[in-house]
Amino acid sequence: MSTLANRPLLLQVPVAQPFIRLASLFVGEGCERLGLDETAAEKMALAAEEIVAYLVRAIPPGSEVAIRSLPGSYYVQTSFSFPLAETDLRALNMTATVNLEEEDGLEQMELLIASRMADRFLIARKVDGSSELTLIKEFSYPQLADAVVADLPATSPAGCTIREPDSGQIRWFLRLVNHCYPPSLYPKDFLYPGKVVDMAAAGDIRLLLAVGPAGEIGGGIAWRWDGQKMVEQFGPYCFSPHAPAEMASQLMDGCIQAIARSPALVLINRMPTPAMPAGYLEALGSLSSLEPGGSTSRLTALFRELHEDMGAVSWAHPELADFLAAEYRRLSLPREIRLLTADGEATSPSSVLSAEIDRRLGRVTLRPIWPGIDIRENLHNHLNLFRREGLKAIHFAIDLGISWQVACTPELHRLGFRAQLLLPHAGSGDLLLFELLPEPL
Amino acid sequence: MKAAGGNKTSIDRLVPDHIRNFTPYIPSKPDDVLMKMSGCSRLFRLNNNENPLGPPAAARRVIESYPTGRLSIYPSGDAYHLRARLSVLFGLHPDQFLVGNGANEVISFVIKAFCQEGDNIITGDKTFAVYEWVAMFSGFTAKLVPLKEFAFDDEGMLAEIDGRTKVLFLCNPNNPTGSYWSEQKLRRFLDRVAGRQIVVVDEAYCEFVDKGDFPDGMRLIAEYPNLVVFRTFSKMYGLAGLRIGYLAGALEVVDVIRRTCVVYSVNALAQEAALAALEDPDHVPATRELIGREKTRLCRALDGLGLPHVAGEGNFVMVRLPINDALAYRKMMTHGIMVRCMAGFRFPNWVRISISLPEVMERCVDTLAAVVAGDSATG
Repeated sequence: MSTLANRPLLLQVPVAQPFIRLASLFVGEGCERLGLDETAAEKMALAAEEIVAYLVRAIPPGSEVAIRSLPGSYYVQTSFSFPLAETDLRALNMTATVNLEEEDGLEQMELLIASRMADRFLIARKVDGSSELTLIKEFSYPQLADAVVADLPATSPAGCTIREPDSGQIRWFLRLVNHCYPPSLYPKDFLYPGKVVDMAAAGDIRLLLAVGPAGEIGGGIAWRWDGQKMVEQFGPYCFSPHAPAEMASQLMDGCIQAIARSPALVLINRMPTPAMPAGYLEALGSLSSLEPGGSTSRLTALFRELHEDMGAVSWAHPELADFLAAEYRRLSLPREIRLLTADGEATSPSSVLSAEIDRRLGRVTLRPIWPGIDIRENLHNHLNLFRREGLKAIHFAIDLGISWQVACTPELHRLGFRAQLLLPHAGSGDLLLFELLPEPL
Repeated sequence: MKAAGGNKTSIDRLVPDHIRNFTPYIPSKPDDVLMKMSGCSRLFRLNNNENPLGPPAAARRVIESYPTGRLSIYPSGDAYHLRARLSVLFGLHPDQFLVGNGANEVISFVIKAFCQEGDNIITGDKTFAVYEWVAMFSGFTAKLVPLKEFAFDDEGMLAEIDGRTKVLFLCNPNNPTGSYWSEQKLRRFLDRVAGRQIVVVDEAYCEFVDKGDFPDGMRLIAEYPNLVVFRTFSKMYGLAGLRIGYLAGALEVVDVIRRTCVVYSVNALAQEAALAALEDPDHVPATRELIGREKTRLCRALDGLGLPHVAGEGNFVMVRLPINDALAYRKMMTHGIMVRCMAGFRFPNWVRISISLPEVMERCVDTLAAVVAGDSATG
């Protein structure tokens, strides 16, 4: 793709009926130029049409919406920025249904359609009271065929060097990972080699491989950014049972050295393999995960900070104070815990939750996107849906750096969630993962 | 009403890629904040290689008696008297010196003076980070040559030179490994470069070195007009809080660098304290004696703990831990001992310990022993 095509595309138009079609055309044509196929681009165009139509009804006349389409290595994202702080966005929940008999049914239908057209969405509230809704649509990639079996190195390659792979080596490495490791030890993206190659070419994921003198791949490690401060690591993967112990250490050293002078504050590995050498990472906590046979197991998350921890503030509901104090003490993390309860402040009527589902692992992770007084009902609806879909590992993540998110705590406890895993610097502040405990028999 | 997103977009478009992708350095918080966060009642900073004896007595007297009435007057814009004194001390012309707000500032001067779009600098991968940072946030490429057995690799650096290489940075002795190039090796390197690039030798820690084969960069300037030497008053002379350092080079080279130099960036008190510091005959030997003795004791203690270490030249020692360095940092902070994590220097699981007074070093060793014993099984 040319440099020109990699630039963001921008349109700023009045929020008014005559401009709905223009916004739709802009997004559809733009997304196609930025790399989406025709069908995906049409979906984004429809989403744009529905969102601007919604805004025409929802925000004051004379306002403007800024639309920005931006290419990523494996996706295109389109953001809509508009001067609206409080609104009813409940249709963005994956559990949403719309009753057109209701007064606002049509508005909610517009949002419902828009959200279903995209693969993911984000909503951000700005300090100036405006909002930004972002839709993300990924390119389509073929999945690694189950039948493909990679040849394992017969013996552990001697004299491996640690190097960045080319696209062919990446694809072969992913076959080996899929062949040698259970799904709980690698991310879903590893099932799509073309996607990983595109991500690596753009720097969205980085890999290091241990390559023998004849080009044989003895092992590897991968990592990618998640937000501004966190790098998520996968591996180290060593394909031979006779792999020398230093191979994993060299891979770890290579990974840490590569990000040592980056903005990352923390390296987190939520899927550590048995090859993980001792002394590099610290244990955080564990969450449940589905194994291939249908049983569940616990996956321990590990982390290390990449710089001296200079301390931070963590917002917390009083019900979490003891847990957080104990965790911060155990991890020797300097944190000022600021307790917060609802003080009767105005809240939106409808909450919005995002859900990230990994069906391989029977896992869903919910995140609060927008606060609302209906949080209990909304959570309940989501849980019912996930149970119907057979998802066994249900997690809820709150960002302790965002004060309004901690208000969910009492409802989570009431529904059977328990705080399990603290991920330092994994959000605006630390990220706390709750897990839904199994119901008593 | 204007959409907020429009403003954000405009600002985004103004930011060059090399700035957008650059990480701002986050300095450590003040002691009172760190102590509150870490729950300790005293804090011993062993993280910045400061001189535990503080400034020389002569500099202290200047600082203590500085007339407050002079604070409303601008300082000498080009550190006139200090440069004159340095010229006498090193046998160079005063115009062969440029004084900056710490040696960090003179790094910027050099890179700005010689690099333009598409150019690169070369340095080691595990050394003082500021050469690399200044190049990157100025939009130039920093080519990083891996150290070889903890030392700058001369052949590796020479092999990386291309048509767009403008400056090579050598930290001698190297922070954090303490390795150094002998005069013979430095001369050989300068001969091979043959004046085609600027060679910067950062001698921030040279006053700590007491080795016969250690080169005096100042003396080599007359022979190698492409050589630029950095020195600082922050380490041996204990004036880190006043921020003052300088560079020296051939007249024609310094004349070019001066064009990028911000005058009046060095405050008057720093200039006068630095001038006085150079006149104190006892300070350097006293510091060397303390550092030498305490470094030997520290290394012996580390041997006793079974912790591998690298103790070259300079007032610091690098220690390999069986746990990750950031964890060791946090645990040591709860005991009031602040060391430097080495992951940021690309030495994961190492810490760097600055040498300090005997009682502080004892406390440091005790704390390190407890932390390692308690957590060696972690992870």
